[in-house]
Amino acid sequence: MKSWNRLAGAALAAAFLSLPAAAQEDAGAEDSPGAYVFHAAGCFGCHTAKDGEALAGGRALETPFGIFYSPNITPDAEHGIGDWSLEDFRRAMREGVSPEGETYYPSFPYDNFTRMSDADIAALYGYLMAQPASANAPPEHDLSFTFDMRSLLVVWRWLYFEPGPRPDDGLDPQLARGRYLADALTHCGACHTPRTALGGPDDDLYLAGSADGAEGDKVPNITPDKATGIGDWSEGDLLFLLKAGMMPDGDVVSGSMAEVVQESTRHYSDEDIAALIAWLRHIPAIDNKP
Amino acid sequence: MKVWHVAAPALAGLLLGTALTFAPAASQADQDTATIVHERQQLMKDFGSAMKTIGGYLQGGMGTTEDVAAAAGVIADGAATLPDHFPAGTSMDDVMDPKTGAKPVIWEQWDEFVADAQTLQARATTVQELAMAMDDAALGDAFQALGNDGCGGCHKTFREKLE
Repeated sequence: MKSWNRLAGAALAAAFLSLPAAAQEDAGAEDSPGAYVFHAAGCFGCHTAKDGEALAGGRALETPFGIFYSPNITPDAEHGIGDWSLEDFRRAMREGVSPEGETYYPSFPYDNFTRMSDADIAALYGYLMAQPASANAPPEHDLSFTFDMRSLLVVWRWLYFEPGPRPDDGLDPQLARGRYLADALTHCGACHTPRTALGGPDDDLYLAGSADGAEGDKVPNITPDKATGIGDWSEGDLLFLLKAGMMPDGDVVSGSMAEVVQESTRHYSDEDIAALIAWLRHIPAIDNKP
Repeated sequence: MKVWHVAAPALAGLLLGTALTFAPAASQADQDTATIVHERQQLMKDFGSAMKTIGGYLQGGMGTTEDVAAAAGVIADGAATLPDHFPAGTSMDDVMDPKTGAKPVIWEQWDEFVADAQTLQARATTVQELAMAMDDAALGDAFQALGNDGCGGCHKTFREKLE
């Protein structure tokens, strides 16, 4: 027993000692920690236009507030984020502010990404910087009159934006991880939580579905409410949804959720699938039919 | 110019006559599109039942590998004919009764749509072959690929989920 412990300790130490070098070398590899964060956070979908170069931006996001065009996040110095430092990137993710000090619209879900750990932000930065650069220059946002004012963002931020990772709130580690996946990385609430008239999440209806999600789709209630949510789904049903996109009736998800499953949740580790399922079963059941 | 003015009423009359002549045929066409939509929705329901069968085996050990192979065969065979079920003029903007979730973009990106059907067929065939070989270990991943690349790959772009 003792020798096993010692061996395990040595192996573990070796693993940690070699980690920085390995991370640096393979930051862009598909099995790197950065790739894992990249998939879980679903960066690809919004930052890649149809038939466009990967991560080069320009995908239109039609919202009640106007049309947002995602920026280029490849390492191109002029049109992408190639000249950003890790601190610039951390500030964008954590505070929603560009290196030039400009505040982002919350179409970039930094109210979710602000909860990401420093380690995950750094890993993601490493991964993005190792991707091929593209000189694509996406169009400017095309917003309706009222919202075409960054000054309104001050109000929005004051009302809705709480920067930084959350304390664990006494949650057991699996639930805390599930909440982290749902809120900080995969940002389920960006679509599944309805928004107020000012575009902030309506926290009283956390994950209870939205009548006008991104791209005009109705988004279902995924709280454990039996009548209007997914309270009667088994854990196996949830597993199949997150891994294969299949719903209990054999139908397979469409539109944005097909993208989420294909690009994010199917890449989750088994532990993370279990954690997200645990979290979705733990949250309050809300009776809400969008 | 003058000739045109004289000709215009005649032309209008001709067009009107044409419209009247073809009016009964149009309602025939409506029936046909309704049948087409019904048939392809039944095909999708068959796919859904097949997915449930495969999922039930993987999840709870329900049924046998033969059931899984047969279900995957239903999807593979259906996928081979799938584009035939989507003739032009049967999008959600064209057919109101019954409601269809077939987005008009199908016909704008027809080659991609056909390629998606071929992917579906390929992924279903893989599941079928693994089931026949009773390779349970590989079946889970193949099922995931079927759901994501096969069904979801097409649904992502081309299908509007109806309520």
